[in-house]
Amino acid sequence: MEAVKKAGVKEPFNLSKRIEWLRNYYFSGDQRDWNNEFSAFSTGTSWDEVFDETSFFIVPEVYSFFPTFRKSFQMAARTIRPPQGFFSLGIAERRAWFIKEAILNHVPQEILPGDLIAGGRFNMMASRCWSKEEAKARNKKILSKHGIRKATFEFQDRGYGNCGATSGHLIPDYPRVLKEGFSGIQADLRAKLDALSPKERAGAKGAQLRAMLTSCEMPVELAAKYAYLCQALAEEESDVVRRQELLDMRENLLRVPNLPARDFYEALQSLWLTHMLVLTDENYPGAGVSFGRIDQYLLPYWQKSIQNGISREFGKEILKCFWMHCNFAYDAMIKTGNQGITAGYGQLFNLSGLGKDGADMTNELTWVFLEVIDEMSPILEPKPNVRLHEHSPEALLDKVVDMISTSQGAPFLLNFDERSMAGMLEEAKRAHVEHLIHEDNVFEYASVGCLENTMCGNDRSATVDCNPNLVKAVELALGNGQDLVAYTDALWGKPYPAETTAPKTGDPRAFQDFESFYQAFLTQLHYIMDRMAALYERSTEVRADYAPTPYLSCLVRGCAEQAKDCTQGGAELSFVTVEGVTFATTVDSLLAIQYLVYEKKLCSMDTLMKALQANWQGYEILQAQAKNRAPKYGRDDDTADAFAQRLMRDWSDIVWSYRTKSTNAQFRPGMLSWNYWIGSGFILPATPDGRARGQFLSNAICPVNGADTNGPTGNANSVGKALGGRTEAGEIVNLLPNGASHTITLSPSLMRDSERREKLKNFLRGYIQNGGTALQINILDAETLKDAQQHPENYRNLLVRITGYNAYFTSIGRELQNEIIARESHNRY
Amino acid sequence: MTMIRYLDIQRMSSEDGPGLRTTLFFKGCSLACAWCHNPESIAKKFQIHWLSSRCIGCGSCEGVCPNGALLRGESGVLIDRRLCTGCRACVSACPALALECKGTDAEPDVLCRELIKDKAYFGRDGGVTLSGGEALLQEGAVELLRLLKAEGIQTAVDTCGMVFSEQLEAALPYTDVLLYDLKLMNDADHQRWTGRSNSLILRNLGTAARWAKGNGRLWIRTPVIPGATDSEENIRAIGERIQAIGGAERWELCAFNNLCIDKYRRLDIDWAFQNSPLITRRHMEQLLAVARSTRACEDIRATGALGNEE
Repeated sequence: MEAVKKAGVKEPFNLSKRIEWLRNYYFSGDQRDWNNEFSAFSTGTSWDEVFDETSFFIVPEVYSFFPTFRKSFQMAARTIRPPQGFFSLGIAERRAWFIKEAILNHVPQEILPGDLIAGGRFNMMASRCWSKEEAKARNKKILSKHGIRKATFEFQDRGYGNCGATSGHLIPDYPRVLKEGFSGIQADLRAKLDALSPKERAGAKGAQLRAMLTSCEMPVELAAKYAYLCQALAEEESDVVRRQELLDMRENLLRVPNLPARDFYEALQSLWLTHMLVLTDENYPGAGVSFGRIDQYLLPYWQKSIQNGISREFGKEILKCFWMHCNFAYDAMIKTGNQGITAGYGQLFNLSGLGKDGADMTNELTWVFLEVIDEMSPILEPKPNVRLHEHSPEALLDKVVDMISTSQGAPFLLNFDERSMAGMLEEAKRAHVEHLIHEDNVFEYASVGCLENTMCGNDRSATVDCNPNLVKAVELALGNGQDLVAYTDALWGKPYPAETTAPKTGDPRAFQDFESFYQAFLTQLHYIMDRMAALYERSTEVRADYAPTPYLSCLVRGCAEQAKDCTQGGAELSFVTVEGVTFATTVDSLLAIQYLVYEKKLCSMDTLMKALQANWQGYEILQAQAKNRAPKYGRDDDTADAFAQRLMRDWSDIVWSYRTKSTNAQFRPGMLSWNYWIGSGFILPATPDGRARGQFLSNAICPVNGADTNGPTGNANSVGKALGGRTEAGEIVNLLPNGASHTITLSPSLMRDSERREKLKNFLRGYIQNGGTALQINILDAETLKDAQQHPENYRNLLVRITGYNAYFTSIGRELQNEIIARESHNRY
Repeated sequence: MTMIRYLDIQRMSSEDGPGLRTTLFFKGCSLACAWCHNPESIAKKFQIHWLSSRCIGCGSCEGVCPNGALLRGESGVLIDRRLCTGCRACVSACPALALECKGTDAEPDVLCRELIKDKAYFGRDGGVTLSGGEALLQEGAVELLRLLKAEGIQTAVDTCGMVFSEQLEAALPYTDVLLYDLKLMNDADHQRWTGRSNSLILRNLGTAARWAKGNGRLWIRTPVIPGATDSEENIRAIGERIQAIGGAERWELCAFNNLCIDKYRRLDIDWAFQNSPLITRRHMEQLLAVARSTRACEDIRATGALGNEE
């Protein structure tokens, strides 16, 4: 069935009564009588801690709630008395026991009406299980006067950005569970434990493996409990069809995830229980815990089920139940407004993409997933990411474009294989892990979180742990190592001392040429990275010492082999990704300094500094020149883009020079800005590109709002060049293995008929050649147009085009703008 | 090399021929259609625009005009078009891009480099379109087409047909798609609304049709303008002519749009169509039916925005 193409908001369609009920039930939010709110558990000791704030050091908007969260979870926690000798075990062993006990015996098992998949409540805040001494030592590191918390707040308040060892953001080795079951994993762990020397067994390695063994029992025993529940429900069930469904579920649960899955239904049940317990184990509802190439590894199970005679529709029905389970993750903080939905979660999966020898891997299950996405959307979880490449089939592009055209924005992210894979191979070379990432397996990469590229099942790249504001280095270079403005503590409003430890790079007023300024800037950029790496080291060390995730470690290759938790660098591939924030603002600021001060001599460095300190007040002409006359990244201007690439090379070289001591993880570069580019815009002072304080900074790899005056193709070309462009031999280069977030807005007029949609396909084909690693497409709507009326400066690139006539929306009169808005609202083309 | 005077380059254009295109709008036209949606493309001379929405009121433009053509008043910047020579002194002085000069001169090879930046997006059917104004009035157009073909780019020319026949014939060997405007069949009406007779246009149409029967692609375009070209009679007459000459691949009825009203204001022109309504869906459907009844060609379609039903 094809999507109903009608104007206005996309609606779900083709849903059975069961799915419609589950979907509506989900959206009834805190009106529901059932939800998946955090439940908190404590060991009941006076020193116990439940909430671990380190996961939230990268979420500045919750900094002020830390003391509240810490206390309220402590107070809300129910006590589970640990057994004798508990505190003589290793922390990982204690946590494994405690979480298993809590989820099995203290969290109720429930199945919603009609649901075909078991695994309801899983959000949990569990005791950190520290001994009194451990709690004291750990808290000193975090909470003391010179502790990590204070240093983290100051880092953010002074405009450097943020960092912290956070949870999720990886793809567990789910295919292994489907293939071997937890019994297989358990046997392997047992063998590895047996192979340890007595000394090792008595030490950290033995403790880690024993903890993982305990964790392996958790999903198996939970499945047994759910099987029992299905049995009980079936006995009470009068409807014969539902009764049979419950009995079928029982059969599944008696087998998986303990044993290998044999068909699609077992595979999905196994996958869900396995996945949801990762969120339990991390005490975080799915921060980028992703499924990887789901249409690839589930395919054999799907084919088996179809052979066995299940209908395609029933297969989709199970999948839709799976969809709903992913959404209930958001219930964690359901009473905090907006149903607890935040941008902070994200259970991603990839579809299609390249395989061995350049083969396209689109398969029958890819289509099933696409249909389910189409029929279920708009809905937030799980988050699809469709991989495209030069040989993606026409039919896939047709479907992609069709789905984009019926939604307000693409209901999925697009990932671009050639550019992404070039980045992963660059990573292999830079980090000397060619044995783990090479030509014969690089196509098996997938995305976590929002769009961050990693390998599958053996890779924790800590993709959102470090988020520096690159433009801070411009400020420090202008200030000769001092801030340009005074910064204050966001919580108390107390001013910070003016001193910084930044190097004295020289009074910029004395610099004879731009190159001198640029070198000073690079020195400051190095300083920012030094400072961030040092702060991150403290945070990741505390996590490695005190916050193991033994269950998750069972699902990450390398942890069992090294008998190391994945928080300790146990994964075969352990990276820390530095997501450079404010890239375009930084490029444009440097270009503006070059243009205003050195090339055109429109002002002196002294005047520019004063203008920035005055937030451009009294310097409006200079500001206008900076905004409009200085060159900008994002409009396919080869000179500006070459400079953007130079900065990208210099910055990524700096990033590659760091490694953590405590977890031996290599730093790697990426660009994703989550929501920081908005918040930090109010912290950082005016920038030389003409931006005033309070205006947004640039987002990820995107040009500054409104700078892309040559439209989407020019914008995409600039992005491709900034990422490294191509070698002289024509090979795609990507300096950011993590990838870079790129968002563009297109006019709905490009979707209005099949001929136009064909043109959009051409755009995507061109993007594969010239663009970035990942793309989010927004379809411009009346709301956007209204915002464009309010803030024309952000929409200078917004083209309104109706038959041969071309005009920038912001350059036409108000009445006509209103008329276009009215037309857009009616979508009358 | 001959310079080309152009108005603008429009990338990712979806409306100027098949596929995704980069369109170069030439400046200067041989017709002066009363409804023209690109009025700044009619005159070949440089023209200064003032965009009030961009103006920051800084006064940088004051006193910079060597001819005293620019005046800052209560309601903003006024330009005395009799005195303005398009020297750009005011444009250079404006830090906010609120003063724009319509018209830029560039050599064909420079333009060619700029126009092919989106080659990756052209795909099988996209390319570069020369539009206007009237591209074929300028000698440089043929040279530019030749350069584009040498780069392997698919080319389209959007013409009003009011050009020297030799120029059209010189351009056709380097043209893949010809977008040819037919506005009015009645010559008196044609003169009234465009300022010129349609006889040369119809003669050149014959040349275009012969070329199309070789291996060219000919798309006819008719602007549907309320009260001017939107009579059934006119559409029927155009359709019959297209049918008679043969060779056309497509005929587009392009609905009138009024989004250029500000452009007229900025050029200080009182526009005859400023209060004209959009073509309604019903009216367009009637005209389409008439058009199809003439069997002018296989593919006949309407494009552009339609007004709400009354």
